[in-house]
Formats: sequence, C-alpha cells, structure tokens
Amino acid sequence: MKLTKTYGHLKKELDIIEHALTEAIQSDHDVLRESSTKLLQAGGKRIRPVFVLLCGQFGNFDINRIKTVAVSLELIHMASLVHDDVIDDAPLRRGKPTIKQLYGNRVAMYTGDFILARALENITRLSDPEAHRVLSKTMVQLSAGEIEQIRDKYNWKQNLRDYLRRIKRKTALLIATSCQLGAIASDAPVDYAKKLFRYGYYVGMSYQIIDDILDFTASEAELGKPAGNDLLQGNVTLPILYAMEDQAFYKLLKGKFFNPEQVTDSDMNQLLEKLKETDAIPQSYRVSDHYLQKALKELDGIPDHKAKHTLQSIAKYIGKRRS
Amino acid sequence: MIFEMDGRVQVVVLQTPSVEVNKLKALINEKMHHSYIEQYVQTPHLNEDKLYMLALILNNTGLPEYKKNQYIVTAMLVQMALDTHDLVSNTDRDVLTDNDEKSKQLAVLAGDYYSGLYYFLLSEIEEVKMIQVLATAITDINEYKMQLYYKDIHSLETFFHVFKKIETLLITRIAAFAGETDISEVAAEWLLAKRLLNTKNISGYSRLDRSLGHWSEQIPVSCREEALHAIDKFIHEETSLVEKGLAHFPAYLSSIKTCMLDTLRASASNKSSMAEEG
Repeated sequence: MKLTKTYGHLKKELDIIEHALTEAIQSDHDVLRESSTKLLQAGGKRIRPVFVLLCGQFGNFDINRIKTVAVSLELIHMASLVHDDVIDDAPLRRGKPTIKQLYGNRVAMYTGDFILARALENITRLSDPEAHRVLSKTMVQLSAGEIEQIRDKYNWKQNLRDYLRRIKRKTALLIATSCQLGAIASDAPVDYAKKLFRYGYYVGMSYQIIDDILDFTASEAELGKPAGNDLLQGNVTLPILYAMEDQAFYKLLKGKFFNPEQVTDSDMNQLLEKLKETDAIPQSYRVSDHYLQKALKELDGIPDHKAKHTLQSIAKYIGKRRS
Repeated sequence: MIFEMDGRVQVVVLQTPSVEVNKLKALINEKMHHSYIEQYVQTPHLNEDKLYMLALILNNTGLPEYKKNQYIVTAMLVQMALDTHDLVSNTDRDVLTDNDEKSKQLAVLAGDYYSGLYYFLLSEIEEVKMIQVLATAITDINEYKMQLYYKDIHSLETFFHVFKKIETLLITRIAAFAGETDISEVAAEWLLAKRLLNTKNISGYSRLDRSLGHWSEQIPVSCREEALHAIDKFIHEETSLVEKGLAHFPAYLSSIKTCMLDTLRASASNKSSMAEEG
C-alpha cells in the first residue's frame, strides 16, 4: 500500500491546500514564478499538510485556519529544499532537475528566500502568538540542525546523542510542529496539542532513521541517487554509528575515507558489503521501531476519531517502509 | 573608516560615533553570534547608515524602547540574511577548495538562520504585523533582485532605480509601518546618496564595484564608463531630492532634518560621522 492511500480521504482538503500553495508562490517576475512553480509541481507527499489537517480535527476544524498553517509549513519545507540543493550541489531531486541546476545558485537563493518570506507572510494571517512562537523556534532549530550537520561531516568520533539531536532538528521538529500547529489552529485542548507534538516528533525520528537505513539498503533506482550517498557526503548516520562498533568495518572506513575526495565506487561497494555483514541495519530498525511505538502510545490519550486512526496508519506505514 | 583613494589606503577617524548605533550594533552582533558560522563565513559588513536611519525614524515614534530596539535588530537581521545570501556565487563545486565549499554551504545556512532569528525575536514580543511587513519586503526585494539578475532593465536610470529599491525597501517599509510616511521617501534618497558618496574618493572601476557591490557585474563592460559617470549624476539627483524633501518636512521632524543634512554634508565633504560600509 502507498502512503498516500492512508490519507486518501483528505483529497478534497489537500486540493484546497494545493491551490493555496499555487497562489502563494505567484510572482511578478516570470523566472521567479516559473522556478517556484516547477518546485511545487515536482510534487512530494505533502506529509506536513497532511499532519496539520489530521491534527486539526481534534478541535474546532476550520479549513481556512488549517490551510494557512499547512501552506506555510509546506512552503518552509520547499524553501529549505531549494537551499539544500545549493548546499549539496545537487543536480536532481525526485528525478527532476533542481532549481540550482536549471537557473544557478543565485536564483536558487532568491527563490528560496522568496518562498520562505511568502511562508511567513502567509502565517501572519493567524494572530495566535503561541503558533508564531512554536513555528519560529522550530525554524531557528532547523537551520541550527543543518549547520551542525555540516560541522559533523566526516567526524567519526560523534556519538548516538549527536546523531539523534541532529535528526530531531533536521526532520522530526518540523513534523512535530505540523501536528502541534494543526491542534493549535483548531483550538484543540493543550494536552492534545502536546501529545500530538510528541507523536509527530517520534514519527519524524523514526522516519529519518528509516531514511538513513534505506540509503544503504535500497537500490539506486529506488533512491534516485547512488546507495551510500549519505556516507559519501560525509554524513554519519545511525547505521554507520552501529557499524563502526565493528572494528573491521571501522578500520576499513577510516582507510577508505582518509581522503574523502578519492573514495571510488568500488570503495563504496566494499564498505556497503562490509556494513551489511554487521548488525547495524537490524539495530537501526530496532531504534526506529522504538520511536514508532512511542508515537503510537502518545495517541492513546487522544479521542477515538477517524483522524486518529489515520495517524496510527501513517505511523505503521512508516515503520514498514522498505523503499 | 578605511577606504582607497588614488590607489592608496586611507584611514579616516570617525567623528562622534553615535552611542546608540554602537549599542544597537553590539546587540545585533550578539544575536547573530554563531562561532561555527563565524569561523567559515565572512559575513557582510553591518550597514551603519541603515542602522542610523532606522534609529532616527523609530526614535521619532512613541514606541517603547524594547519594541524599537527589537524592530531595529530584526530589520538588520533580515538585511544581513539577504546580504549573506548574496555571497553565494554561481561557482561550480569542482573549482572550489574544501574550505570555499564549506564557506558557501554555511553562507546559505547562515542567511536562513538569521531569517529564523528575525521571526523568533518578533514572535517573542508578539509583533505579528511587523513579521508580515518584513516578510513582504523580503518577497519584493527578491523580485527586484531577479530583475537586476536577468537584466530586465533597459537603461542605467532603471538600473539605479531598481538598485535603490533593493537597497532601501526594507527601511522605507518600516518607516511607513511606523507611520513615518513623511520620512520614508527621503530616507531612501538619503541612503542611496550616502552609499554613493561613500565611494566618491575611489578611482576607476573599483568605484563602480564598491558603489554597487556584486550588482556591478550586471552592467555590460561597454556601459561601465557611462555607469561611472552616472554615479555622480545620481548623487547629485538624490542629494537634491533629499534637500527638497527635507525642506518640506513638518516642524516636528526638525531634529531628524538636521541629522540627515549634517551627515549627508559630512559625507560629501568626506568627513562622514558614519562608517562607510565594507
């Protein structure tokens, strides 16, 4: 089953959000409009709007308020992707040329800044101070997390705590914030908002860990990039942290990455083979599952509702994701 | 203040640096401080003229001190975010050294970090309207940047007009938001005149580069000489506009009027009390 099937019943609301996203990125400048539209049309799972929509059902659901939050969160995510592609010098995203590739770094920077500003402009339709405090804090942490990621590249001495903090900031916080803001925008009880935040946080952690596992286990066709690409970029993820506990792997890794510029495809294949001989992948899945169970547990205190069942299905889907 | 004149580096001692501007600078630097970013990114110089103008405008309002300071700090954070992102060049990764590559990556993230901080600081004091004003200014500035980048301009006059918008829009929008519409337009002219005057002792094409920053690259080589002459013309025009605008200032703005005239004249006679931007 596809993830999108778990929230198929939200199609009408997601269409409204899609339309609002298109409106939000309109610009007087042809290229700016074109680059933003290309990005929007590249698609994506719209998982953040989905969480906003679902968590908005536990209070007084008002599609206009929910739409405002969902659009801003998706725009923030989109803007970060445009800038990330400049950071990674990435030619492709989801199999399509990136903004940086099509128009150059400078236009990618302007497009990202434009979309981010549109996100903030849009969210100011909400006057709720708490919503702004939550979102702005998340935005600062998102950037801080990405800065940490650059700092920690090729640092084989980092530990589990460093990794977990990084993925919290990089992925989990924005998902958690999507859930929390959905609840806040619908004036759901504070207790629910807190539980939904934690649900989103645990789901986000689990999601990112599985993403990091798939980087080693999925095929190039499934990933849209070579397997082991995260490692090649110097990102020390959970499977690597566990694999490094194996002395033979650690020795091989240090040797191959003595000069990261000179790591070949054959080196990478050797490392991937060696990693699969260790217990790193099953151990990483166990950590991901641990977070997933915590996410599901958070939903225990939430009233029985179709949205709750969908949140459960999404969590379970993420846990089973193998490609 | 250090500048180049006839190929020689000159140092001019700043006169009466405003205590307030220095305090604000310290506050902004404190908010922006990030040791890892500072290690790799040569962050752009904080534009003291803009800081000075914001202080002038907001001092004239009845805003409480904390709010006024937060407006200024966040506006300058936005300016720094935009300026930092202008450091990201189109240079391919393969020709960059590891350090240059890291510096580019961190420049991207530093700008995003400063943007997040502006939103965070205004959220803390529940200034939702100001968040919107700054966000709208950012979208508009980026539209203008695209115009210059794609050279959607057919004359030097239009070029300078768009450049002026990029340089001053943030300040004029804040002035308008603070209800200081009388100052708004004159402030833009003052800022542009000051910026161009600050380079008047620099000779040759380096004056063009210092006046327009990286936007000078958008001027075709065949037009650079003409652009150099145009700078003096624009200084003259903008200065006249400032003087004309100030002549019509209402009486309650007389202290601002004096400050603006004095600083502009000081710049013209090379005795600027404000540091030139780097």
